Amino acid sequence: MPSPRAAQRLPWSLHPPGDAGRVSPRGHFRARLSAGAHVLARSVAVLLALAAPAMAAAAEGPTLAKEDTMRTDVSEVLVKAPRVTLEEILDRVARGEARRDSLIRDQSFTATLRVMRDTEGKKGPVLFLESVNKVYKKKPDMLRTIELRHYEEQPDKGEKGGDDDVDADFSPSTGEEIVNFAFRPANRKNFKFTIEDRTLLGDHLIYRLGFEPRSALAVFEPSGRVWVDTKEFVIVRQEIEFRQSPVPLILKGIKNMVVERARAGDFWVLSRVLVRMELTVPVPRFGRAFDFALGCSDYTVNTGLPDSLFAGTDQRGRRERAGVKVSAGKKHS
Amino acid sequence: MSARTTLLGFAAAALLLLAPAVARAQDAPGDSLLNAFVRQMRDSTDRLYGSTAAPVDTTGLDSALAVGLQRGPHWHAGRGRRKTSFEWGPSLGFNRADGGQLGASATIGTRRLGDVSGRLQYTTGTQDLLGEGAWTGSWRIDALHSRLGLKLAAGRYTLAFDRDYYEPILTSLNAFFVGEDRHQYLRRDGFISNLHLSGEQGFATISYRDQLESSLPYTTSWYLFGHGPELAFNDTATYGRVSELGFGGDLTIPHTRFRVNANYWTSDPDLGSDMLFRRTRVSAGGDVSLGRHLSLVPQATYGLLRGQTPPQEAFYLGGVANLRTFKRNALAGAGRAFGRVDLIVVDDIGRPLHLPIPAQLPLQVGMFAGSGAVWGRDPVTGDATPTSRTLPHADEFFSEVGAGLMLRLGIPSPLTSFRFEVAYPLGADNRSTSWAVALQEPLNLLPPR
Repeated sequence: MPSPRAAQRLPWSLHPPGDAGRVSPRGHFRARLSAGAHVLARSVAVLLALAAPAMAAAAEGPTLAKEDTMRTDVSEVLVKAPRVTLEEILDRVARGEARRDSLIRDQSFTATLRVMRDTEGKKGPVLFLESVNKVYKKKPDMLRTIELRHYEEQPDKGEKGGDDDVDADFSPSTGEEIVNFAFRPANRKNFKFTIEDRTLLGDHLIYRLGFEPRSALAVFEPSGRVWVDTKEFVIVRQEIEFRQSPVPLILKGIKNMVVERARAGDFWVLSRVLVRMELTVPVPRFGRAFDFALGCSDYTVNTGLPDSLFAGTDQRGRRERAGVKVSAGKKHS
Repeated sequence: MSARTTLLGFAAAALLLLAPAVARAQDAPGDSLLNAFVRQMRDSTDRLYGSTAAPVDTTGLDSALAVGLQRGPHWHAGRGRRKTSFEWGPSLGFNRADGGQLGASATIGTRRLGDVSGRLQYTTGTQDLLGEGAWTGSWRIDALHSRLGLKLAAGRYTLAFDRDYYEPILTSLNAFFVGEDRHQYLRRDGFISNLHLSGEQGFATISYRDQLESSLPYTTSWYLFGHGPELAFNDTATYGRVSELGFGGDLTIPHTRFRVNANYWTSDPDLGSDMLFRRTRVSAGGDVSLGRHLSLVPQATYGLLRGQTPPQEAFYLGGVANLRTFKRNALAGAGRAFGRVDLIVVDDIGRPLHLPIPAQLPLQVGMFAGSGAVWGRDPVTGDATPTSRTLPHADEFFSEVGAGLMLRLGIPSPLTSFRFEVAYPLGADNRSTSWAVALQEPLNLLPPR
C-alpha cells in the first residue's frame, strides 16, 4: 500500500483515473508548495528565459557567466494529516449502509431471475428458466410480488401449478444483505479486511477493499473485494470468490460471483447478482456448468406506495401470477 | 437461432449501445466519472457472462403488471404458493434390538397452522410398531431478531443409552452392513415437547418429556455381510416413568469464534417421575487460525450426573465421538471430562499430490491430541454409580495422539468430512493403536446449531 506522502502529487500533474492522491480525513486532496519553492520556481523560469537567447547565441561566440552568488534555500514542509484507518472505513460503510436503508421508505422494481444451462457446452448457453416479477416493498415489512412472466425450458409433465419451481423469495427488507453481509456489525468479526486500492473520480474517492474469512477453517466461505464510494460510504460493486466449494460432493465450485449496484435517484440499489457454478457430475438435460442471474431494474424509491397496494398480503409477500407462463415455446395461462 | 431470439439480441445490443449515451446525458458533472467507472466494470461483467447478463425482454410486462394490479392482492393464481404442502418418504433403520425398522413418514405443511407429521415403522426383530405423531410450528420474533419454534410429539421410540452422541443413520448403516454397532438401546413411550428460541448468536431451549422407559431384548444376530454382531447382547435399561424438564442454551462468545453449549435435565418425583436425577453437560469449542493454512480446533466437554444413575442417563467415553483408542462407549460413569485439540491443514492436498480421489473433494490432513476420563463408575460391573466427586482424579485420565486425512464432503454441513484417522494411546494400559473412520465435523463435541 503506498504511503500518503508517496502518493502526493503537484497540482499541475495529470491524474489518470485510478490514481490516488494524499487523503485527508474528509477525503479532500491538497498539494501545497511552500513560498520558498515558488521563489525557486520563478528563479528557474527567469534563468531559463535569460538562458534561451544566450544559448542560441552561444554558437556565435560569447559565453554566459555562471552566477554563483544568488542562493535560495527551500525548507522542507512536512504535511501532516491523519489517515483514514481501515477500521474507520468499515465503521463508516456500516453506518452508510444503515443510513441508506433508513432513508428508503418504499421501493418497487422489476426482478428477473434467470438460469442458463450448459454455459460451457459446445452449443453455448441455453435459457433454462426465466421468471420476471414486479416487487413492491414498504417499511416496516410490507411486500407484494406479482409474477409477470415465467418461462421454463423443461416444465414438469402434468404440472398444474405446483410450487416446485425455482422461485426467488423476496424479503420485505431493503437492507440488501447480499451486498453488505461482510460489513454488518454482527458479521464483521468473521472477516479480515484490507485496503487494496484507492481511485479518485472527480469528487468521489473509491476504495477497493478486500475481504476474506478470518477463520482458516472456513475455507468455503466467501472472500472477495468491494468498491466503496466514500462520498456516501455505500458499496457500489462486489466480486466474490470461494477458495473451496461449500458443498464439494455436489458443487464442484463457484467460479465467479458478481454483485452490482446502480443508482436509482439518490440511492444505490441492487442491480444484478451473477453467479457461475459447476456441478460435480453433469445432470441429464441440464449439463454441468450453469449461470444464475438476478437482475433488478425499473426502480422507484420513496414514491409513497399506498398501503392498499399491500392489503391482504402476508409478511412474506404472496406471489401472484398475472403474466403468462411460457414453457418450451408454448404459453400456458 | 429463432427470430425472437435474434430480435431480443438486437434489442439488447441497442440498449447496451444507447445506455451509456442516455446515462451521460442525465449525469451530473461530478458523478459522470464515477458512473463511467462503474459502467466500465459492468461492461466487463457483461462480456464474461454474455447472454446471462442480457437485459430482460420487457415485451408484455406492462400489460401483465396492469392485470396483476387490477386483480388486487387477494387474487391468487393457480401457480402461486400453495397453502398446504405434502411430503413423504421411507423411514428405515436397523439395530440388533429391533432388527429392521421398516416404515414411512409423511408431513403435511400448512402456512398458518404449522406442520403435522407422522411416522410408522414395523420392527422385524421385536415384531412391534414404532411411530410418532408430531406438530411443529415456528414464528418470527422481530423484537429479538430470532425465531421461536415449538414441537409437540407423542409416540413409541427406540433410542440409544448415550444421549450425547448418537447418530441414527450412520449407526444403522454400520449395524446393517458390518454389525459393528456398540450402542445399547431402550424403548421410550410417551410425550415430548420442545420450545426453541434461536437467533444469529445462539439459541435457548426448554423441553419437557413424560415417557415410560423400558428395556429391549437382543433379537437380531444377522447383518448383511455376516452373522453375530460385535455385541451379542443389549444392556438392560432401568424401568420406570421419567418426567423430565430440560433447559439448554448455546452462545457464541462475543468477538471470538468459540461457542459454549450447556444443558441441564432434571427428573424428580415431584414432577411425577419414578427417577430422581440431575444431569448437566457443558461443552465449549472453537477454532483459531494459525495463518491462512492452519487451523487449531480446541474443544472440551464436561458432564455430571447427580442422584440416581440409570444407564440410559450415564456419560459414555470411547469411540469416534471422543477417545478413539477405546471402543465405542467402552467406559460409562456418572461424570465425564474430555478435551481434544485438532491441528488441520485446510488446503487441499489431494490435487498437488495427484491422489486418485475425485478432484472436487478437498482432502485435508490433520493431527490431534485428546484426553478424557470418567468417574463415578463401578469397577466390577463397569456401570455408572452415584458419586459426590465433581472432578476426576489425575490417574483416571486416558490420553491419545493421532493423525488422519479428512475428505470434506460438505454434507450435511460444509465442514462435514469423512475422517480416516489412526490414534496412538499414551500411557501404560491395555489400549492399542486404533483406526477409525467417521463422518463428522471438526467441532463434534458441540451439537450442531
